[in-house]
Amino acid sequence: MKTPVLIAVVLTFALLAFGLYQAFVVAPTEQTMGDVQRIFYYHVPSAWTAFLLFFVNFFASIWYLFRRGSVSDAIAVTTAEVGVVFCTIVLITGPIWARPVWGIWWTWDARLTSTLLLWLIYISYLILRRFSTGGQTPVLAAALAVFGFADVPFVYLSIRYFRTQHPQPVIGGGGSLHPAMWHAVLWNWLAFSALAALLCWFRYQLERKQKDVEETIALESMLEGSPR
Amino acid sequence: MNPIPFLYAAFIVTWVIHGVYIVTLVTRYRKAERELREFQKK
Repeated sequence: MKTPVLIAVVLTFALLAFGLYQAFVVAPTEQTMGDVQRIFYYHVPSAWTAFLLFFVNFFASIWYLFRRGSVSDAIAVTTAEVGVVFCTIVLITGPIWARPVWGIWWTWDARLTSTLLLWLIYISYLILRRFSTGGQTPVLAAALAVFGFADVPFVYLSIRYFRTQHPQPVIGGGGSLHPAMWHAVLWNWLAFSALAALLCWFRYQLERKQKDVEETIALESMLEGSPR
Repeated sequence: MNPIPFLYAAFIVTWVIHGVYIVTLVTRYRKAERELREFQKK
């Protein structure tokens, strides 16, 4: 591993450890929910990171539709895959938090349903990328990503415009958060964003390597098929 | 209901998902590298 990457890995893990310390030690215990509310410090930053990655995927897809560059295509698939990882964490930690607080694992309200739909959209994007073999696959995937991104603002705004079981948003939701809770959530978001950037870098390297393999196979089959 | 196991479960699940994803990335990268080496040998 190259030195700058190694430094990035060490810094990211230090940030994650500090985030964990903030969540478990520094942040005060919430009065009504108790300690289980500390799931918030992983649940919310994971959601924000997933939204950020889908946002990058949206712009990379538009860029690809206009320019057809391999870099934008690689960025799009990279951010979609890492975004799905973070969205999966949101969908699992949410019900784990809901069970002791609401008494149920899941309810089909607008926020939860639209988040599940968002996850399914990007899962279908990845399935399309993985199993479609036609030359038009990146174009179709980019079009799916552009339209699929429309669900992101819907997920965010769903708790403002619909009556939901899910609490109001942290930013601009009318509620107040203790300054120490704000610090904990922002430190964890910074740590998760650093982790997401690192995962994207590794996934991007993998995409380039896989492209090299595909090009080598194509070149070999061309040489085998050409008259001698 | 004791909520503490739920708190630990959420944190453990988060790290298991990230860990599994990192392992799949490393496995896929090594597989691609191996394939590339084999093609270059031919």
